[in-house]
Amino acid sequence: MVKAESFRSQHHLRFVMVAWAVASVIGVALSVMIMKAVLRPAASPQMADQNLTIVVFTAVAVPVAFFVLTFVGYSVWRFRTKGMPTEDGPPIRGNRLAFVLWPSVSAALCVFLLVWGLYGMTKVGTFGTPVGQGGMFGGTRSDPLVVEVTGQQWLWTFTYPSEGGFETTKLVLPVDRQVEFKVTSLDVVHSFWIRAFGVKIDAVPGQVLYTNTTPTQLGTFTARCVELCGLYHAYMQNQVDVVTAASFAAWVQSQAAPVHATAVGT
Amino acid sequence: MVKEHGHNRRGRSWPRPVGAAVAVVAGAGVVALVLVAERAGSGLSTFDHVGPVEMAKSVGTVEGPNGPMPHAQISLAVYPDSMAGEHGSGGGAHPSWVSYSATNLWVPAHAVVTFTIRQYDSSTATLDPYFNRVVGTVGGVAYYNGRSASALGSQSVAHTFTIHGIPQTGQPTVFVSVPLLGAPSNAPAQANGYPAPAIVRFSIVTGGSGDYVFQCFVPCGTGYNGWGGPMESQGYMAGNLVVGKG
Repeated sequence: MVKAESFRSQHHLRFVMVAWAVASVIGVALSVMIMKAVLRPAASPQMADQNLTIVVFTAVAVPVAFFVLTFVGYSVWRFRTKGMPTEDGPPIRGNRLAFVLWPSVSAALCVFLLVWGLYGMTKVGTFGTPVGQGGMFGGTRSDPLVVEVTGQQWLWTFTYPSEGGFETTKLVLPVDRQVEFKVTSLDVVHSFWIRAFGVKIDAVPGQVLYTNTTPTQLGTFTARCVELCGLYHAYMQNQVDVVTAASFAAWVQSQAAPVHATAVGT
Repeated sequence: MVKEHGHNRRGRSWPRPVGAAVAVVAGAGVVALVLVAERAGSGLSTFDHVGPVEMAKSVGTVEGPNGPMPHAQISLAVYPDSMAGEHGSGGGAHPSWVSYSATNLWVPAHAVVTFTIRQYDSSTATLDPYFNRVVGTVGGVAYYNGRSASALGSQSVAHTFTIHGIPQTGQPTVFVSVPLLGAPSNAPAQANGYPAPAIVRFSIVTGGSGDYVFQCFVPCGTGYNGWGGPMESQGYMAGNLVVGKG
């Protein structure tokens, strides 16, 4: 009987490790390039953080994925057999290095992801509390523009309490000023999402949840509902304009003119 | 050397390279389909219309914001039930549900379109005062039984006629919202069994072609806060509006 080959052979292990290292270097470089090309540009620090998180997590995941794929691929190729195998491979016992490295590297990766995530959460109010009031996860408050966001099937409306309390269906924000969104719903659960700003929070009837962002790019964006909410959920999208402070002031002035109800009988 | 072969389900074999080529072609096909679907993503707004389409009628030209423009007119009604609109005299599946008279509307692009809405239902208080306002019409007003107004009192509103759409598909962004005056509940019944309607008339200026939806924002249905039933069902208090496409 021919003694079965295994990865205990230094030859095989060395080949696989070199192949894995080469594939990982190429894979990480390619993944970073592809991610940067695919991800849309960020229009707020929160979205920039989220884009960076996606790039970093992908780069970290590539060597892990290639580690598995290289071993599997090499095994399938090198130890293939025609027909049914006649015996099992030799068992592996007592490899102390593997026993130490495997859980240690896995734990280190998990801790890295955890710390990265927690750090990201300290930078933005993520638990539905007002900005600056959510403990370490409340974010930093810097004279935010408060906008009340109301979801109703199938449209968002926006009220500016600090600018006279007018209500609109187009969200207009000044660039480089922190915005605090107070989000609620009149009917069912919606979810308020502005992808370019990295903002997403549920709109729950009877509750007000908070989130915040700071738009850093002038332009037109889209706020949409990302909680399936009925017939025209796909149409529950509103235009978001980020304008200069002067343009915002002029827009507020144009909106603030009171609208008086007219008594019209039949 | 033994030539390697794969096996199909009937046990016949084919050369491995053929199987690999088939797999590559199939994979490429899947990728191509995904890309085509992604490219066609904007087709989300191109819905198929079920049921008849209420077409706006051309009535000549009218002075628009930048000179003469084609003028079209379209009529619509709002009934307190479904017995008089496109559901037929039997009322369809939900005869007691409040309904617009039509589900699918067509209006021309780059034109002034005048809507005339006969509103037969009585008032229901608006939940969001924003929808007491007239938004997006010519002059920012609507005419209620001949009198112009830019807003109604909350207790006077029965329904709204609100048009909106998807801004990112390249079509012009449209937002029009007109509160519809309630018919007096004590008005004598007409021949059709409903009280004399409130006549609401307003005009909008259309841009390029596009697919939009219209709906009511006064919760006049069933369920939580009145948002269920007819408020969440196409053919009752929600429908489609096409601008410009034939």
